[in-house]
Amino acid sequence: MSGFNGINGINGINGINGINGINGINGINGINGINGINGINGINGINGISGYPVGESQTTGFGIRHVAGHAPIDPATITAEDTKDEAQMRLWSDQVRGWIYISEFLKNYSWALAGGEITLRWATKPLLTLGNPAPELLVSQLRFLTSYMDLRPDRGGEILGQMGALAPHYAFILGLTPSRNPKLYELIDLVQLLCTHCVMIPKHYLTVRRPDQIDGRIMPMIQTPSHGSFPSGHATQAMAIATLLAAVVDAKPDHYPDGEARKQLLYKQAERIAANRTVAGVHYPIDSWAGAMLGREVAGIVVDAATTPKNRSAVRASQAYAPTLATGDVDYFVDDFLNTDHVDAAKTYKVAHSGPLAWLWTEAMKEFL
Amino acid sequence: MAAETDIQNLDPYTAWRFGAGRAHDFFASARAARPHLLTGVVERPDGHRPDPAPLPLTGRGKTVPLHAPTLWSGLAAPRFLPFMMEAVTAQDLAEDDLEALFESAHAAGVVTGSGGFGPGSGLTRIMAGAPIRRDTATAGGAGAVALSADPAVDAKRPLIVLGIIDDGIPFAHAALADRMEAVWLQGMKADGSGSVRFGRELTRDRIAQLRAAHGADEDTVYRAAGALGGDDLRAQSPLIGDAAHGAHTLGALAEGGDANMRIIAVDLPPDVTWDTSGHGKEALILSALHYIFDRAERLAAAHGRAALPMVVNLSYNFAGGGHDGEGIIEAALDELVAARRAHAPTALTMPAGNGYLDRGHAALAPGDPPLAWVLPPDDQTSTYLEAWWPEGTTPALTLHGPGPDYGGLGPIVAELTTVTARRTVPIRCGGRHVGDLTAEETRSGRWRVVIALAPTEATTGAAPAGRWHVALPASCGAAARLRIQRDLSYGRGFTGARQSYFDDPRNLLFTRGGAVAEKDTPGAAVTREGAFNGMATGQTSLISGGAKGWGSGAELYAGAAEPGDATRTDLSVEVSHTLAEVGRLSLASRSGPRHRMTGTSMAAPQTGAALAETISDAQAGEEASNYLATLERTGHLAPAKAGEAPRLGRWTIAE
Repeated sequence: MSGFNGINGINGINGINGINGINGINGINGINGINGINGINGINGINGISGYPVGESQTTGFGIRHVAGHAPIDPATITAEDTKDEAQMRLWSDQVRGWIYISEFLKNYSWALAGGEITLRWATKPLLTLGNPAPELLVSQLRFLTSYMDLRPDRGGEILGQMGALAPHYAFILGLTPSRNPKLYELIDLVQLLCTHCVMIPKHYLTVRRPDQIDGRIMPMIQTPSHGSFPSGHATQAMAIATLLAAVVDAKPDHYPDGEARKQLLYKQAERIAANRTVAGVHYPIDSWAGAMLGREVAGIVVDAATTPKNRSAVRASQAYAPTLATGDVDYFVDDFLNTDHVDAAKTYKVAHSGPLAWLWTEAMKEFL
Repeated sequence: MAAETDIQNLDPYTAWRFGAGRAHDFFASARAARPHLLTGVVERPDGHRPDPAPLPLTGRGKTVPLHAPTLWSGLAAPRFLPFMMEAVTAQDLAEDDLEALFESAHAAGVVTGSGGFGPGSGLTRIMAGAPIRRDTATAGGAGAVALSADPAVDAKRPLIVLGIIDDGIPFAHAALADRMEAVWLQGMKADGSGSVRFGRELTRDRIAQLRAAHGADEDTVYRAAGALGGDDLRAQSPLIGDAAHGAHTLGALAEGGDANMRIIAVDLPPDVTWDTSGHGKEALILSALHYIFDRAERLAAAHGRAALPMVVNLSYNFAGGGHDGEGIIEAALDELVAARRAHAPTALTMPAGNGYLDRGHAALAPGDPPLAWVLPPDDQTSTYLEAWWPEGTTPALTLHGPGPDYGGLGPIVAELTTVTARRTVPIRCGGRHVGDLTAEETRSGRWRVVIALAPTEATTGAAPAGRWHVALPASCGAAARLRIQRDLSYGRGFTGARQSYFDDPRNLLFTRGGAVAEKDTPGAAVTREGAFNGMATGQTSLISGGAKGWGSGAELYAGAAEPGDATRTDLSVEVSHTLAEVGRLSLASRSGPRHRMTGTSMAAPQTGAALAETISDAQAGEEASNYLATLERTGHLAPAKAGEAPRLGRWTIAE
């Protein structure tokens, strides 16, 4: 069996895909992630089962090959594989496709540090600039964690369930199943994984302490992840998946005649998943704001790269977020987030067509009415 | 602190919280860092209607204006007035300041003048309650509010008001919002609209605007209304969670009602959850009832009708009190309800309480063996016990701390022998002042002793956990009723409360067959009967117990009055339908899902819902009791299971 392989690099016996990588980063056991993605593994399991015979079959080969004669094969009879619109993607295992998507995406992702800020770039242009939150802001934000602590008994189950793959936490909103929507699951998992790659860079360079690393009274209900606090990886992934699936809903109005309600639910779930990390005691609300901004861009880039015609580019507005005690000391609510303009002056960046991503999007769309 | 204080005007709870117990409870919480207002109730036997202008209290160099919230105009001269003390932060107010301020209120010379709560014969009693956030206050007093007439109301049929006082009122719930005429969110920051003296009010029109602006996203509606978003050390509303007490009780009361049943609701401040005893909300509840009556009058005017029949549910409970109907909140509610009955049928439904098996009630006679009182370790809130004597007798009591071994009788830590006037004795353990024992003559003329003990888990001045003992000396003139106040968290937020209890070896907890013993053991000091809602012994309230739906009698927890108490359970309501369906289904905090909750809190509003169907048949002025007879004329009641009258009352309502 196979799957997207992210951080792990090597596909083990289970081949547990990028989700395993995410879990590894979070320092959480990978079992949760495996559960989330079982459906895909089940499908891919067919590949594994139908793999080449070895051992005893070799004697068969040597015993019967003489009946095919000894003449060389005529090269002229070999037809080329169909590679139009990257159709060869269908030939590869989903793990291999995963490597291709990731490389395809990351070739455009870079960053620059200046004056305590980090500018994340897409094809050399800024996509998101993040300021470093001051200690006074972090301390002030602790009140939200203290307040949300009350919800741990209510939200404990969700919080534990959201430590791995997030696709199942959205699938029930859109009626997705792994058997019907294998390529859309692949796309969701890809976006989640890309978010992990992207968010680790500002987490690494801004190096913001976790809430429990500045206040002993937070006592998170799960192990504090071993990477920086700002931005929130969960908020990044959650908003990215909501953005991606909102685009799917928009693309399939016949399938989703109640599209507006579905999109509301998707964004609401993005809020809840992000807020659950504040309930758990591992994120400030500003982490969620920053993560949501990055996630919206990551998913937007994927959708634009997949849907923009060949040799064309989509133009996106660059974003900026630098919360201060005076202007940014607020809780995170998706309604506020979606209604707040974070466009960075008049800066823009362009997203060009991507063959592999376009192939995956097209295949995923075929799974709907 | 002085070794022995002599506070004439502070009730023992307030004296402890502001005095020797200041290191605990409210003042130990982070919330105390924010400015607060003190709430309370004043009593004047002659009755008085205060001017809108505040009454300045002066004492020890401080002047504090005393304000009244919205008062119903139908009671010309109320004897009981809720108040808030403005412009001073509660944490700056020392016990002695409070005493001086209240003494100034007593002094007629100070109270006379331009108005406020004076002039006249002076105030006889001031009871301070829970502090509320100062940022709830609207400067300049409460303005008027107009309610509109909903065309959905059928002009040919009676218009009924369903009133509710609770915490976590889901005013945007799809099952309720169209009939939610007004809701007062007592604990929310003032928003400048100024129609209530503290907190915020939302009318039906305003709720409709919020719902139109934010669609089906009720989270955003509550946030935009200020009901959610508990920053700045403000306690979270129960609405943040999926299940909320107020959502559940209001659902039981009003969900089944038609368009002519209109809701007026009061959401008590979430911030008072630091108080785990059930004490201290008197002013908030009394203000709430005044508000409901006032808004009902405005609703009647909007529809061009006379005073409207009304059912108000109050699913609150505390364990203490004299159980004689003479508690200040009971007397105050009775006064208001009786006055409104002159205009329109007005019922007040309340629960019997849930403490039947909690071992918090005992009858102790002079010379009885000392009764063990177990204070659990790791209790982070103060512990209170009340002892009440019959009219015409005076108290005497001996309190022993924990002994050197777990079972043994420990040293005497406080003793009260001859008492002729209010007196407080400090309770000392190992040289530490860990509590106060106060004897006082209550407003009914009966004496009570209140024992206030520090938490057993505290950074300073903790009371030792273990087996304490209470005894009445043989010289004491009469037996007393002992009641331990509740010590449990309710609502949201961690309080660290743990319940103390009496450990009486004569009280059998299980039957020979191993079942929970639901009958009292003859000869035991601890009795289940008598564990009853101490706020529900007034004359006007209709009291509901809890029944199991498969005919096997009362819910285990359902409280029962004892013979001689002023009231008893009138009827019971099925709370659990089957062994597997424990608790009653009602509304969650958001539209759609439903939740189960147990408790007599869930029974009382169902009684209210049944009564609402028929209360318009009653005539104004005719009801001297609590409308049980009106309910009996409906088809809702079946005879209660025989032999369990103290807990089930005469009737049972099935859903």
